[in-house]
Amino acid sequence: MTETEQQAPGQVRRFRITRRRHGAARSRVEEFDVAVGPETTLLDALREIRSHQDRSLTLRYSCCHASCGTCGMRANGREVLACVTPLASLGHGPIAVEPLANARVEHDLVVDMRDLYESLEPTGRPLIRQDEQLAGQEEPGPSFARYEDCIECGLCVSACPITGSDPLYLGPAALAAAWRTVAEPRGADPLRVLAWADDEQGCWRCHASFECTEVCPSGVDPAGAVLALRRELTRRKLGQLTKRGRHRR
Amino acid sequence: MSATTRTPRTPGPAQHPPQRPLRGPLRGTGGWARGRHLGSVAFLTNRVTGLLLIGYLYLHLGVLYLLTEGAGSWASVLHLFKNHYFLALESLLILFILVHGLNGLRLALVGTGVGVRHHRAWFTAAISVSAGLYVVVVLAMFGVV
Amino acid sequence: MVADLKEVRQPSPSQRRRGGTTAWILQVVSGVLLVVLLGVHIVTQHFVVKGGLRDYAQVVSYLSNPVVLAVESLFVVVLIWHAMLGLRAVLLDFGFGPRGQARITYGVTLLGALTAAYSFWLIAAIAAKG
Repeated sequence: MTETEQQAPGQVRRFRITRRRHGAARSRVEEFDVAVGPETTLLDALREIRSHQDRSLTLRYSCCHASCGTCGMRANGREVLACVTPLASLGHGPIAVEPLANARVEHDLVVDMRDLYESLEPTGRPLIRQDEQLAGQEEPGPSFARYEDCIECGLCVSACPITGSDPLYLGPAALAAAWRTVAEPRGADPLRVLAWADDEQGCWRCHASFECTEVCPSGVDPAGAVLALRRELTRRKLGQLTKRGRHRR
Repeated sequence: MSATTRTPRTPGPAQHPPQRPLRGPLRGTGGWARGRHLGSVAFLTNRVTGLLLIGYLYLHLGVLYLLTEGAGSWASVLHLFKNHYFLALESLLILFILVHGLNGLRLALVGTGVGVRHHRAWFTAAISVSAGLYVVVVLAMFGVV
Repeated sequence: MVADLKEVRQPSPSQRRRGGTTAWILQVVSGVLLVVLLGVHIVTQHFVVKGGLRDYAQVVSYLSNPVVLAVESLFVVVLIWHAMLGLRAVLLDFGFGPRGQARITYGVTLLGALTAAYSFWLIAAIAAKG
């Protein structure tokens, strides 16, 4: 008996998966029925399909607990991490499964993440957060800091309405990382990163739809970060303008 | 040890162009209507009302040309404007102006990173005030107030 | 083991950066001004005269007032500026390269200038009849 069938007997759910062979021009939708239990996740079901129904179904996953960010996809049009998405949260009808949007589809549910990774490079790629120390740390020794929140899953980039239409937009992930570098430089040059984000294809392209923050599984709040960049840039510009005015007098 | 700098790879236009929802001239609109949440509704509302208002601006400027042709041309158009169906359409225009303006004030703040946490409440407030003022305007237009 | 960030990647100086702060500030300022100016325009056009619509003679006499001329002219400029900035924002979302963006900015500036010219001509032509 498979893992999913070992759970309390449940129902059969139908999955409509958008698939595309590598290099193919068109995608197609294929249906699979899977017997699931009350706690089955989307990833469980997809692995079940791959293991017992169609070995050619290609998907990406790793940690299975929302740490690695590799299992991002769209379920019923919403960006999710498949490993922590219970099927119970996806309604009762057939579940439409698609790869992430705004990234090139490699094969089936696997997309090319290189654009996302490359867009993060100029931000200094903040990894270690130092403004939140562990509480009650009194003994001398190495200071503890924690990792920044972004797991580079690409859900925000998929959800952003602007990234969909403008390939030059830096995107919520890169801009959120840029804000973290500006807010906490850690040896990077914040002014250079700020200047990099100050562009019509940078933070000024955002239209505050907040979709990125809604889908982020990791509490990054990219929308807040992009808007914080704009606040900082506006503050500096107004400061410049008033300084110039004062010098003229 | 001081931080060193490395020359990064230049991220230019996407190296690996993704699939877009639409092709051709409409491709720019592919992502607009996908959003499910309040922020997307607000974004789309201001975009649609803004474009409609630009359309109205040119219509309005065109109609005003009749004023240069003298009292007769203008009087005939005035007659059309006083028609009740026309007034109803005009009231819709006022609604678009109210929504665009009040949500616009919200965007002016939120888009500059001010009060971002409360953006949903501000949208609800903007729509409520718009609805309230719209009722007042309609009553005034149809001579009740 | 967590460590200080030793190697930091900086954006290279050659990367394109054209700024957008000024355009945003103009959009905000023009928008806020319009809340007032548009309100004044609508009230003075439709809630002053009986019936809500001025006939020809009333329009001409309205525009003969220099304060009215000044306010309506300011209104026209601010409105067209805001509209063109907004149109530009919509068009930029379609993902054009740097040359395309420059063309869009040039295009809306031209459209705005033509619209403003026509509007001022209209005001002058009507006011002159008085």
